[in-house]
Amino acid sequence: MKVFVVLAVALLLIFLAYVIPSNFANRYDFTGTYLIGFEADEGVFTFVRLFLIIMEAIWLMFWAVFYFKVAKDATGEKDETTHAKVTNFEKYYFWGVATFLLFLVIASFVVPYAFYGDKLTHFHAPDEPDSITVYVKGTDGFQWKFDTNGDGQYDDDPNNFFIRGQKYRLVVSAESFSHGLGIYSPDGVMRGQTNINPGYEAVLYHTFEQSGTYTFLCMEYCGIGHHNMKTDVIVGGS
Amino acid sequence: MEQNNDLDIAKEMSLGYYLTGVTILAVAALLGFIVRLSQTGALGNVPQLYYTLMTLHGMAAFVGWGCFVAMGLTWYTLVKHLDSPLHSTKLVMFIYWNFMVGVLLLVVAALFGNFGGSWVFLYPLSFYGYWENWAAFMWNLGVALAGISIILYGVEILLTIKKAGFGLLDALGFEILKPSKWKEGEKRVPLPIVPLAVIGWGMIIATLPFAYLLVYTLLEFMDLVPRMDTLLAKNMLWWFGHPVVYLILFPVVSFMYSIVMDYTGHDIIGEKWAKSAWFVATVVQNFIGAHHVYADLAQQQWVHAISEVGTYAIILPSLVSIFSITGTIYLYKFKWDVASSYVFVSLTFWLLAGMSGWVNATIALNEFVHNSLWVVAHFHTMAVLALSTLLFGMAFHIMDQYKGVYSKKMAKDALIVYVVSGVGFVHLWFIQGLWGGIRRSYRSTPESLNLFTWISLVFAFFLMFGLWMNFYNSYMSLTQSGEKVKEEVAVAAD
Ligand code: HEM
Ligand SMILES: [Cu+2]
Ligand SMILES: [Cu+2]
Repeated sequence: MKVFVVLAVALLLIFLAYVIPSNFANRYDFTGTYLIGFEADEGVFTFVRLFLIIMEAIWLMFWAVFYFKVAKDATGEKDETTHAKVTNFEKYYFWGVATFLLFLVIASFVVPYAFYGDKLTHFHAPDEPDSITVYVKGTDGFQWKFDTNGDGQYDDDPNNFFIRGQKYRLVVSAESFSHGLGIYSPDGVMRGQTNINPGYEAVLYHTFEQSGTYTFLCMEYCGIGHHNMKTDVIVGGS
Repeated sequence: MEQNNDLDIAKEMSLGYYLTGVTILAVAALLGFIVRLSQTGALGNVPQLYYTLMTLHGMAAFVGWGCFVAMGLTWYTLVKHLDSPLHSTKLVMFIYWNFMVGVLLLVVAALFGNFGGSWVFLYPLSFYGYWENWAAFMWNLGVALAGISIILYGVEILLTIKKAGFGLLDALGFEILKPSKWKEGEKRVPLPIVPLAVIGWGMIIATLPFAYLLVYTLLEFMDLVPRMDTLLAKNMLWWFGHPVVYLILFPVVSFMYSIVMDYTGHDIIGEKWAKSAWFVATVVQNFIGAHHVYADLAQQQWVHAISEVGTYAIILPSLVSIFSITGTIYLYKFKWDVASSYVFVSLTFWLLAGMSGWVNATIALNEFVHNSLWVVAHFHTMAVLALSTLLFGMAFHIMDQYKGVYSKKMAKDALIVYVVSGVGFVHLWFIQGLWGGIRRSYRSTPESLNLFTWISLVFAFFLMFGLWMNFYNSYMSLTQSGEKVKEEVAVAAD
């Protein structure tokens, strides 16, 4: 069994070695090469990548404590544990559960909202007056099409329409079956998404923060063309 | 003697279910490997192969672990801890054969009719795919049959508990509200029974609306009803689709209690805390499926809010169980053996999978990881490393009391193969997910992630191999004589 501990540690190290330089894999075409994995502008991802490492650390700690302390102690010859000892142990429950809940609340609300609140798409006012409305439809032919003037005609190519820094109100719909709209910025980072079912309209507010070619990908499995459902959207400078 | 006989019957039923399940899994693992391989492009341009086998893999792995292994081992655990026979062995047999028919339909729909709607086949996708219409019909029918068996499983659990003379509400955790039950020497529901009662009840509630959706889809194929509300359908799917995961999780906790009780020779500590947590699970388990619909901005915000709070609440049974089991092992004697090694591995990965699930559960983070490979990493950590390890552990534990385990050494070696390859396998997905990788996408998307897909194949291969070792070992244990017999022979030869 000891071999487990060694292996777990070794794997963690290998894994860390991957995380740090592997940011290059983030880019579609390997053009942007970064040495350090955490770019501040990647928003929530930066947080979750850090969390992944924290998670690993907690897991390994539990592994070690269990193996060296909990199970080891228990294998030795031990007196029959008394009732009092058990009752005493149960007191830790209160503190264990309370600490956990406190941590959960802090981690769940404070961290993401405090640092990335402005990037989240869920909590917007029903109408944001300074935004421009664009209709986006996921078609049965596995494409995203756009209606920029509200005339009900959906076109392929909204190029030179979107402008950096402007807030858009994307009204997303689907033709016959469900899709998911994922907005990937030119550096290959997913910046926001919504799922959409036929018969509904989902409203997603988005501000393009870079100029260049964004890609609208499909996030929800929709059939044989799902992996090809990629539409380039060129965002011009202001 | 009468009792013993009941336990023997339950043991055989459990092992029969288990052997079927583990056979399905041996195939499902191979499918998983092919699916991962096809993503690299090594098999040529084969999107249909990817989508169809992904669908079959997901369903087969689920049916294997959930419907056959977790359910199967339930029968033994019920009889053992209730010290009373099953309500109806005929019903248990019916559940089994009904599943078998369902599985047959699913396999035919996928392999001969090319059905590939993914394991959730989100309504109304069944009507629009690259597959044959009859195949989609057959798939929906197959899942509906499985649904019937799942409901009957819940019924059988509850009736067995009732037959043993316990109150159903008590078994669902309501005991904590009755001070009289907590006096010295009072008879209470044995702890391993509680998660089984909770899931029995939960599955009945979860499956009925989904069964309606399936039947509706079948009727729509026959042009008898019009298209229904798609967002409502998605909610009905997840009303079932989330709790059905507990069909594996909750029995696993029950088995973990059971094994640790056997190994330490004592009850699990913190019984009242554990039952309180299960009480919470009884109440909220059916109200959190909408956390799979967070990314639907068309859904009402109050639904998002309820499912976020509920999802946090459901962490309690896991948390308290990890605490109780660790504490019990700490306070009493513990022996490293096959089953206990599997318990140890399962327990630690439970924590890891749970933490990664917190990211999915938190709306602000879910927005970025939803439908990414992070989710796939999360649930494979749970399924491969936390759940299947324990299910194997429990099966070996029962086989040990049957004809014996064919080779305990092989079981321990398989665990090492499983852990090492599993950790590597899921981590490549975690990384791909956090670097923008989309799930259920033939070819790694974005393409630059393909390198990671290649690397993960090595791990996938060994993972499959580890599973096959356990499959072989189980098969030999049940058909031939176990190590026990071999040892006796060795002693006699000395
Ligand atoms: C040998 C072990 C396994 C391998 C190699 C494997 C591989 C895979 C692969 C490649 C996918 C497709 C992921 C994607 O591209 O989105 C997948 C999906 C899936 N796997 Fe596994 N897996 C394994 C074990 C399991 C187990 C034990 C379960 C237990 C429940 C499971 C359940 C699923 C499910 C439900 C899906 C989703 C299918 C869908 O999205 O329709 N897998 N697996
Ligand atoms: Cu799609
Ligand atoms: Cu869920």
